[in-house]
Amino acid sequence: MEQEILKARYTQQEITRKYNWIAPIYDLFGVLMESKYRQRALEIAAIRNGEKVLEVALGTGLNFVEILKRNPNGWVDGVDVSMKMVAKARNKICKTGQRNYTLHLCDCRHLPFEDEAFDVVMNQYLLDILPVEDFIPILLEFKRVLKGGGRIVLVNMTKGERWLNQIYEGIYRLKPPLLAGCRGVMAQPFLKKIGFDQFQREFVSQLGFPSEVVRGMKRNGSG
Amino acid sequence: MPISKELLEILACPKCKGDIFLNRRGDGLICKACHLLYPIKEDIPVMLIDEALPYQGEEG
Repeated sequence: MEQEILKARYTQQEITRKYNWIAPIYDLFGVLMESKYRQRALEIAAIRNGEKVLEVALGTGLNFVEILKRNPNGWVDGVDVSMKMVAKARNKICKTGQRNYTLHLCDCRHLPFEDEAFDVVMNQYLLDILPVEDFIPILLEFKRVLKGGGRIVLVNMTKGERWLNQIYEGIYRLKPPLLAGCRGVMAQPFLKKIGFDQFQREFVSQLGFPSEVVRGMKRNGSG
Repeated sequence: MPISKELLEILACPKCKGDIFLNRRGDGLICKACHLLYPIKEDIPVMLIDEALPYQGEEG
């Protein structure tokens, strides 16, 4: 499965720089290309009011405000590596009037949380920009902060099922910046490798842009 | 928004995963084990190991 994934083109420093740069216009891309997956991810996550939720790579906060709406009596943490993204997210989140959240700047490889702190970990469009060799270390870090029985919900650009979807992989081969460095990946095999189970995977296409929504569960006592 | 009690309960040093605590001025989070201070900029904790400052032990 791993050999089918194209090589990542950006280093961590380049990713931070590029996402700082596109922060002001990111919402346009987010609404046009990602709103359907965001909605589906929230449905699949099935967040219950009162839970502790972490969103990794919250971007400009489009998903974060929806999590907050579903969880007024719980707690939501959001992290991102780009200060400009977090600042933009904060402006949006402030308007909800809720105070049961915190935002941090951090590297997803080194999350600043205790073990088993969260009921749900959500992440959208992160693995698809990173090198394949980083997938397992990052997913293990997500697993570490997730409680036993907790849910992980990932959304990524994935391999296209129809010719229209495959155009995007072609664009990536020719000009990766046009897709902000994202290429098609499949997260479930990696989650399975580190002990997640009870998977649900859906393929969603919006304007032909192919994404997958994957949910897995951390087994109790699986570290 | 100031650092809340709920956050401090689950927050850990990104390097050693040990306990951290707010410094006296409220503008940084200290890990005594790693001797690092993670700055809080515009109410946002910057929990990046590479951007942490050396902690000399005069606070807390």
